[in-house]
Amino acid sequence: MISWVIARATARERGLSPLTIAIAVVLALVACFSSSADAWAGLTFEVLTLLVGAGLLADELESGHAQLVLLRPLTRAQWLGGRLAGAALVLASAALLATLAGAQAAIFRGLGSETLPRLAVLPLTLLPAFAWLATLVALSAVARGWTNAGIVIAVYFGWKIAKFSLPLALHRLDLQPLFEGLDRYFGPQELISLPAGTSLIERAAWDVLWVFASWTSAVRLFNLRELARRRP
Amino acid sequence: MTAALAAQALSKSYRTPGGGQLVAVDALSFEVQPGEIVGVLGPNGAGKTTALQLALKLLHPDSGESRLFGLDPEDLAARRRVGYAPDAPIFPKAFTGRRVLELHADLLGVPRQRIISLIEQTNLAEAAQRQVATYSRGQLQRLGLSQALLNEPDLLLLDEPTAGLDPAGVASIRAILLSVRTRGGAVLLNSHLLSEVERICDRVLFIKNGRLLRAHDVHAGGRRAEVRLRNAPQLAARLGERLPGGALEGDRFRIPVAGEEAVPGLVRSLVEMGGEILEVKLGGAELEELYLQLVEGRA
Repeated sequence: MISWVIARATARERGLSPLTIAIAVVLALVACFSSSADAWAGLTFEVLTLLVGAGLLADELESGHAQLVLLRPLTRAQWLGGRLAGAALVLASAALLATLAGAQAAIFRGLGSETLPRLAVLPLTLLPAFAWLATLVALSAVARGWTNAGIVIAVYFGWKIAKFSLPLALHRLDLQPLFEGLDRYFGPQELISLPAGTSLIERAAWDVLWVFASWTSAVRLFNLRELARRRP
Repeated sequence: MTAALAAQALSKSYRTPGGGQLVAVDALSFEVQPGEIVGVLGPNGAGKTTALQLALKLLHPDSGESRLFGLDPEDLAARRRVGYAPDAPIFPKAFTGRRVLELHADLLGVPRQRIISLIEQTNLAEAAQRQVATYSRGQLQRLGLSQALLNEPDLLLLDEPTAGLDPAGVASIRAILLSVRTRGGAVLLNSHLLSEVERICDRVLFIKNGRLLRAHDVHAGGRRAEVRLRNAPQLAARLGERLPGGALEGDRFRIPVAGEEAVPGLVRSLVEMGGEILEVKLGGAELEELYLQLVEGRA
């Protein structure tokens, strides 16, 4: 399902971009100087996820390089799996760097007891990030350029606004619990700061399911797509 | 013998922005056999590139099918034997040329040493260390050709491979194509360069509006020799008498010959007549005239 040759090439291509490196350095610095174990795993990491996943398939398809690569003896699913795995490797590397920097800084400051919580944050941050990445890949199988990232941002904020404003606009405050309930299944779920009454295992299982559902959808959508660019 | 490439009634049309339909390829059938070079000639927009992409299943045909070595084009065993260079190859800009070739070599399971010989063969030694973003059109073209040749393909498909190349580059591509044919490989070549097609191709497909107008065997009916003579006017009478099939036009004497093996005899005859030969060229049988007649509709 995964071409590791493609994964390595993708990791190199996405990971060596100056913007990716800059964000990874910011993450590490935040982890070093923050007193909180999960301080780095906020907005900056989400920005990195969007950056790494933006146009992940479309860039290669629209440039025409994908048609050369896919004439090699590898399936479309292997190529797609390789692109996803390569991007995931970049995220994992940036997160690992930040985690180790944070743990090292804690030890250096004589706060050895903080080391374990700081390391524990790593998988909790990575799982939802991988789920978002898989979503971006599925959208990139059909969307042009970096619009997959734009769609994710628009839908995410659109839902957040709708969740609060619709019950008010409709004068149906009784709908609020329904929207809150739906929110638990709207996209990948945050695992670090859990709302009251939610289970970490349940949320983590949902994210794992989301990764595989998005991945499978991406393969199905991509199999329908033509590889060559239409000539004007 | 199984054809390296067999296309059967391939058709493809697109919707135009105005709501109409543009037929890019219309019931196109052709074959490329191992050991032959087949050229595709036609005006811009004739459907040459689309035909090639349909044959490789990079585009989904509306109808018809193609087979590579008797297999579906998406069969991985077929893909191991194919090389393709598009007309404007694009590679990841941050990669060096060498890195691009390493990626394709790894996908093919080809040893890295092959890259070194290819880089030399396609004259990319200096450029291979640089990022692709700095490449000229000709260098991209050569890199595209290099990746297509990595697996020593049994079927090589090239779309305008000489576009943007200097004369030395054109000559090296010609040599590469001939070497592919010599080892029994098949080549399908899209080109605008009539002279190149005439020089190396065994067969030519004339395409217009997505339809195959004619498949022409370049060697059938012999070829044509063209000799430039310093003293052509003085020889006119003798040429007409001793080589009646030929025609003199200015200082050029053109005559049909059976093949290149007939050229030494022709040269000997001309020298015996006292001809002072400046240049000898061997071409196909009036390919240019045929192109103008079939494609441009000129009588």
